[in-house]
Amino acid sequence: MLRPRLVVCLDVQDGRVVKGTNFRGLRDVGDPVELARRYEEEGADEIVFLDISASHEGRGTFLETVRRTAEVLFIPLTVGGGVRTVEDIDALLRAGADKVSVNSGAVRDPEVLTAGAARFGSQCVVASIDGAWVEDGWYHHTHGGRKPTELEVVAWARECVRRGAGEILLTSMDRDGVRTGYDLEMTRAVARAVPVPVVASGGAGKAEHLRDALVRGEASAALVAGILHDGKTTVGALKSALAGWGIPVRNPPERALDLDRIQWSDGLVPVVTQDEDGAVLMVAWANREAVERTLETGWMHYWSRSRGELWEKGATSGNRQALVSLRPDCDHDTLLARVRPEGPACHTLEPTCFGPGEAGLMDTLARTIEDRAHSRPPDSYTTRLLDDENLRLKKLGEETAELITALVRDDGRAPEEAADLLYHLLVALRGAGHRWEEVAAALQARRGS
Amino acid sequence: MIALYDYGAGNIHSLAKGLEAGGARVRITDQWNEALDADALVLPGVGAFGAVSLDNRRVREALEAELPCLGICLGMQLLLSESEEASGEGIGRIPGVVRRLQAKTIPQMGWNDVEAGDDPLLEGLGTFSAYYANSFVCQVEDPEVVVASTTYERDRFPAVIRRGWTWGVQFHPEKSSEAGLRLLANFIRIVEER
Repeated sequence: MLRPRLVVCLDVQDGRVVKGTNFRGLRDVGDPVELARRYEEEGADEIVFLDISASHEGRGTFLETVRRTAEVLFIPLTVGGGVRTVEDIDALLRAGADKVSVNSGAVRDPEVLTAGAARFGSQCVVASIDGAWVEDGWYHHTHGGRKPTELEVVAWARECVRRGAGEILLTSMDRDGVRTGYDLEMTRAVARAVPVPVVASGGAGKAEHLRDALVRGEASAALVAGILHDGKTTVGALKSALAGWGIPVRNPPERALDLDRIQWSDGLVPVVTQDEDGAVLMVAWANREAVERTLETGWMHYWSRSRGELWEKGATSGNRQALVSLRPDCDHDTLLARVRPEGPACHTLEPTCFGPGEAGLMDTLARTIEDRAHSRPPDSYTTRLLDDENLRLKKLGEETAELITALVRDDGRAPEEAADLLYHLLVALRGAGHRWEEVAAALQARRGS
Repeated sequence: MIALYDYGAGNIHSLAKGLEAGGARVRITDQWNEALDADALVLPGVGAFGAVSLDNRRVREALEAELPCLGICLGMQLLLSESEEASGEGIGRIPGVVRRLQAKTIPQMGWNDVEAGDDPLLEGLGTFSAYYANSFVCQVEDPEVVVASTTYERDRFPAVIRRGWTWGVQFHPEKSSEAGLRLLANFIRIVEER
């Protein structure tokens, strides 16, 4: 049985993996060779590199990246970005790509697909189609999805296949980066229209979305990017959720946990939650549904005894916990969860429920401000400062002056004034998008010198 | 020394590294003198049947003289006599024809199960998933040469074939992660222990 694929996509620029975040442009997330390998180890079925370098030098660096990757990666590698000619395809295949995807190049000259398929076989030639809804239908867009064309997506997909493409990489520009799910209608329309595999792309936010793309969207593969690079979930968690729904993915992680063997006590089992370094974050209860939801979604779910309800950790605070592993102890009456926390585990905003530990006061203060920045309680002074740049910069000046005055007068008020200043300093930094950790890192870097 | 023959098209990088990971010394070459003088010959799986021209008679004679050979994907298909894909002859080491897959979605692209087969090449593997990227498969005359099979949609075809010291695999071991690397290491061991 051919197994539905989970494809991991990496945007590569000048030899680094980058990722777009709203309003902040591109952020460096790592070395493409290392990341590709890591995803193979986690169970990815295929890797896609998209070259987004604009410069000529960037192209050369990209070929070198492909070459280095091919030497250590033993799952298929598809590459794309800026491919225009058969010579481009040849160069990428020679560097170590298994498939080459063509987007704008095929619009300019569809013959590149035909010539590529004749020379290298259609299994190497992928037509990349970026579709977005315009008035009466989906239309293909070029130039990274910015430039609309007259080409209706389904008709264009058929044309690409007629010309020799052996696979369609179909991205919904409406859904790209939004994480609300793939465009199932567009995916299904194309999958039914062409006799080659269709890879659904754009919109993956959670495992359910992949399931929908593969089942309702009728795609052969689902492409995932952001949610993995952010550490929001893992290939293993996605695959084990898909396997749990009966989708025959390759090598899902073994479900070490047999729910029927757990010794439930009044329907509950205690869960000890650790971070990846082994620090104990919290202890809470789970019922069967919470454990099932955790395994399905890859996010920690507990049972809140005080509220008497299923509790998705971080659903309101944003401090979620991505599941790394979940296993029982020797007699199956306690579970150990390893997680990657997105924020503090404790409602006191301490990183763990067992006290401040290594976190200092400044960390705690910074975390409180961070929390306010997300929840924006209307009656909070911090909210007022965060909403008003003039006010917070004015306060920063005032508090500085007050500290200087206290020091000059030597009236004993300096510690109080210094505390005020530190608070306003952190709010001013946060207001400009900086985090306390950056300051700490800058200080740390100076320690040696 | 294992010779990896370079038809001049496609990615043979990963295959070279996969063979090296199995403990082999690899020489990539497009010279038959060099290729047929090695301890074993690997025919990689990239390109199209019609686009590759080999010195068929010479290769066949070397394989008949028990030069160990592993043909991968297209490299497996080249071991047969002829192909529906294009005119021209294959090496003819294993009698049969290369035919188009009978399936709705072509190429077959992705991971499919290789049923367990009894052969030193598949030692330690059992039934495993392997990466396929093919539109054509081998239809061999002698069913005895089929070591393991795969089913795609309703089409069942040879995944691994063997005749004497000649093996062919329809999937890409160099793209099949751990299981594929194991198969390549098995091949290296077979050659070394010969």
